[in-house]
Amino acid sequence: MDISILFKIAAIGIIITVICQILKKSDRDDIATLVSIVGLVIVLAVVVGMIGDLFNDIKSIFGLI
Amino acid sequence: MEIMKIVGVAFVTAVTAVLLKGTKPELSFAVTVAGIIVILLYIVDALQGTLAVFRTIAETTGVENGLLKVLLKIVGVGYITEFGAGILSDFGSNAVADKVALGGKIAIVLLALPVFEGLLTLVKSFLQLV
Repeated sequence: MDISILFKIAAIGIIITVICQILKKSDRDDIATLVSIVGLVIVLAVVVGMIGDLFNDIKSIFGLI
Repeated sequence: MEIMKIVGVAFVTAVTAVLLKGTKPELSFAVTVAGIIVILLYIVDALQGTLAVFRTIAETTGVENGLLKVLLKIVGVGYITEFGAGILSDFGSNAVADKVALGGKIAIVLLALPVFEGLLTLVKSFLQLV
């Protein structure tokens, strides 16, 4: 749970962008959109996990049930 | 030392968000949320220390424990509401952010109701004395 997560998300973003560009150039646009959706889902899964951890921490500290 | 980390993470988040905004705007949303969460986790850790001090103060001065619990809950609700509303307004959906802020305010008023009732009963008991 440190700054490395930010770099991982940025790396995923860049890789997805590159792959999409390549697929677009070789006119496989449908696969390109698919790849970008998959990338987005992976990143959102990580972020949702982090949100869950944050809310659990806050709940335990502030006594919010 | 805590503030250095917070500012550092904030700058990295901003730069990464701008970097990703050009090609993949939705990923820049995810990076911003992740950065904010990392900062909030630092802040929550720092806050934990102060809460312990508050508890000891409450015990020594004999402040009724329920009051402190309500206070902590209100701070927690404000904390999460600010987290949500800030991100939403940052990404353009200001209307949604306002609704989240409104919801937070209502939740805080609901939490504070028992304290108001306590105050009323206190005042009533004073009036009986007079």
